[in-house]
Amino acid sequence: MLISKIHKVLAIAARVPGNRQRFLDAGLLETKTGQLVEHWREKFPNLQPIDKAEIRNSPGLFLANASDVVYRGTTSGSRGQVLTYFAGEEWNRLRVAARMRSLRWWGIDDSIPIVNVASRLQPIRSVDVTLAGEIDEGFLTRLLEVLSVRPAVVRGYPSRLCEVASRLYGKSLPTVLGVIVTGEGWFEFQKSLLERVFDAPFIDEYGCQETGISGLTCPEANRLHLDSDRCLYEVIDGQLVTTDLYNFTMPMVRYCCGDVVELEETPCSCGRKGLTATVCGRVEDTIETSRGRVFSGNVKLPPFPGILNYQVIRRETSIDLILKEVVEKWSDRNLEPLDNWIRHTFGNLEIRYFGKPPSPPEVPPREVLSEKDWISQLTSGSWGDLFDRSLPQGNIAAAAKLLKQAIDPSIISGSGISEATRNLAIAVSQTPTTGNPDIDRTIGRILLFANTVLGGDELLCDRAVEILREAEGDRFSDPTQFDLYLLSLYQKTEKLQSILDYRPCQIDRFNIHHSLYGFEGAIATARNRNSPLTKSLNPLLAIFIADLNFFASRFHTAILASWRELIWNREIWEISRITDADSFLTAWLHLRRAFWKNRKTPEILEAALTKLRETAKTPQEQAKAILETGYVNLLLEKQLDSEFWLTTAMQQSQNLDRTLEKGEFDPLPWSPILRNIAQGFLNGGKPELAYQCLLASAPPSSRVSAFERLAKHCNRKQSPIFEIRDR
Amino acid sequence: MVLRSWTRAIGLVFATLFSFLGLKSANAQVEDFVKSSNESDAPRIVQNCYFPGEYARVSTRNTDLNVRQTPGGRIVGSIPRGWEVLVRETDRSGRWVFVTSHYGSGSVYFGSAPNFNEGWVSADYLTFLGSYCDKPSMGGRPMNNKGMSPKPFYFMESQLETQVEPQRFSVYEDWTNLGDRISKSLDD
Repeated sequence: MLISKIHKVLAIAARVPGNRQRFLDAGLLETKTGQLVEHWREKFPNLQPIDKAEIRNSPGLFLANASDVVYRGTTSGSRGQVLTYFAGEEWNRLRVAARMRSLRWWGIDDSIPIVNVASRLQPIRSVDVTLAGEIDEGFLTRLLEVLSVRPAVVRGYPSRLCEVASRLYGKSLPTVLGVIVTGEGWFEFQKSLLERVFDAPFIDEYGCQETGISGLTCPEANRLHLDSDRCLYEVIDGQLVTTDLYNFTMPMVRYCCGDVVELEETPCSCGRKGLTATVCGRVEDTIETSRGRVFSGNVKLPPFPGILNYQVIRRETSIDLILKEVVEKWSDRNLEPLDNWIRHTFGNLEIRYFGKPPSPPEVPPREVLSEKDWISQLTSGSWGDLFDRSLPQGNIAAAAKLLKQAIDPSIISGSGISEATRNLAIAVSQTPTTGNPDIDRTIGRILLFANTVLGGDELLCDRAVEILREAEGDRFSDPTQFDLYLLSLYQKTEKLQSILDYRPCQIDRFNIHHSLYGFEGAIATARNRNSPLTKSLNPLLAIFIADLNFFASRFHTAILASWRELIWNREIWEISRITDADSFLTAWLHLRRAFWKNRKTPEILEAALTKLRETAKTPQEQAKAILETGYVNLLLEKQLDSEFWLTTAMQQSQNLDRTLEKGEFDPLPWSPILRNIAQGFLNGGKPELAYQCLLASAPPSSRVSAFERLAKHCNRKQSPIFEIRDR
Repeated sequence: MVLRSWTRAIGLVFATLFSFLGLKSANAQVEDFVKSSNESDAPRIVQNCYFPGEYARVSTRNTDLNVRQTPGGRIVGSIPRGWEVLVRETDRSGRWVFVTSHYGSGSVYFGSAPNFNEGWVSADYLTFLGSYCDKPSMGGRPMNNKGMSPKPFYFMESQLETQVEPQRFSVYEDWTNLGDRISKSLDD
């Protein structure tokens, strides 16, 4: 079984140009045919391992398939530049299953949340959450709030978890079911601290996603079990070398991940089959000790009385010891055990002690805007700038906080929104109106925005409409009408249909930001309804965003109705009723109706497309017509000409969006096309272009964006022991 | 164009913060109480900077300092004059030094050092500052205007048979940035 799996992945990897030479050198390929040799098993041990740097230099050369791309991963980049890799459907399914299986050893099923703490770790399941950012009082309060909702498992880099644990030391905590450490090697004093503070079992998770490696310690013997079903493991010169048995999209064969491991020779007493191992650390992380040079993971860092968290830096002639968190007053007496341990471990070197690092200097807060100015910027200014400031005071304060939490959450939840934000939305909806139409209108609109982020809440929506009627009367302003109708893209609200008049509509910046979140809900609805468009026009979200970008300055409410039809596959209005739309827009509306209504009828689609081309007058409209031609070809399942479409996309991108700088390309509108032409480039012997097309067709996501913003500053890994070679 | 100006403006703000806010407040907290462990009467604790390490300042005359993949090897980036970097390693000759930022280079884009990359630089153009003192400040937030891909990607136009100009692109654009970008068309 294993042999046939290895054979399958080798046969695929053999066709990849990045592997060709080393496969040939190993004698694995027939020189004439390029096929695997018959006795490949004998030759396999000759195959030179490959590492991340080598793949990163020309990642496209390792791409075997550009069609089966379900998973798009990015390495952490903690050791240098990131590598984006791709994997297919089967790989992803097995990855999820393997994780679930090993978590169940510890009784962690799908109902138990895993709370990722202060580390660059995304929530994986819908119950999971991520808390990231600076570890300050606010962070700790949020963590305790999350943990008090229901018993959960805490997960993170051990160094970051220890920083949190040091701050929580001595406090009474809600029930924690386990502490999973991952991403770094861990040391004895860290285990001791985490077990003491969280009063929960310590679980070691090991993984190297791009290679398919995953592993978890077992509860019975605390041995690290490597998931041997998905990977072939080898240890060469002490380093772990793996062959991913299921990545047929970007096969990783004899990939050296840079970790030094020792495989256990005896089976684990827990009775589970498969390999167990001890990870000694990264191959480059060695340190000079009195025993000679060793991997830093092999140095034992014991707990010391009165010292919660510390870091050791080995220099040429000295040892720097950073005492990060202590519980007793420092004196020579309680440093004595440390002195002794250092001398024992490193020899008779000078020891320098350092205290807790100071907090980073605070950036002075920017000027707080008045309610009036805040509202004005919300509808006509930059949100990036607005939410970089402190929130306004007064009647708008709670609603402003709600909006901030919705777009810039301090907790990323796998289900979309945190409990705290949900509760705040309810609280804002229950607040009486102020009598000031501007403020009430803004509160009403923010409630609609929250409703969008929450995925649709009838009560919240009704209350928002009530507030907006009070502020605006029975005839809603253009922006309000837009916000209200946007909900119908993802929410079943028949009564909203009557609110919409079909007419030109001057939208504002709030509408645009609101749309981006609304579109995500809309696409999720289409996907749940198994809309075929989500498959043939993938990512459909990119198309909606491109439409908005194109029509924002000349918006017509009929565009909203057109989007709604696309999502719900249902005719809801008569295009002929529109008399005030320009000819290009009218032609576009007819074409878009044909997208879902006549997607199997090439003649109707082509006719609608011809009409659109005829009405396109400006370079921007002509570019849009070309883009729509690409979409129609995708609907008709035509194989696009890769060269032509990539060139066209690059030539037309600036015409389509005139805010782009020279030489800048916005891949978003073209991403369904780029995704499609990737395979053509691969088949045509241009794997680097295939890889870049896949890279450029990344599906847009507010959650990825929110996570990146939250996690990028303060979630660095910090080994508690390392060496600096002096100059 | 507006976006780029905004990027430059933020970069300038960060550069200003680096020079004024961060360094002054960090230095103010440094108390030089280092002592060796065999002297028992003096204080044993020092207050160190936020990121422990060995720091150096780029001291080129007018130009940026080239960063190379290996000592004397291919140029992979550059660091502006006056920037402070974290020193990780020196090669055997002592002429080449491996430097990085205190964030590492993988996921950080510095507004005022757009070509920053970790790698090997010539030691001749570094002023060594010693440990636990002058450092790149946390006061200036690393800027990543377009979300997850801090450096733009480029299509390999040379592989295309047709003639088009090189195009740079980013993916996973920050959601708020995306909304602001689209909103610009309302100003037309």
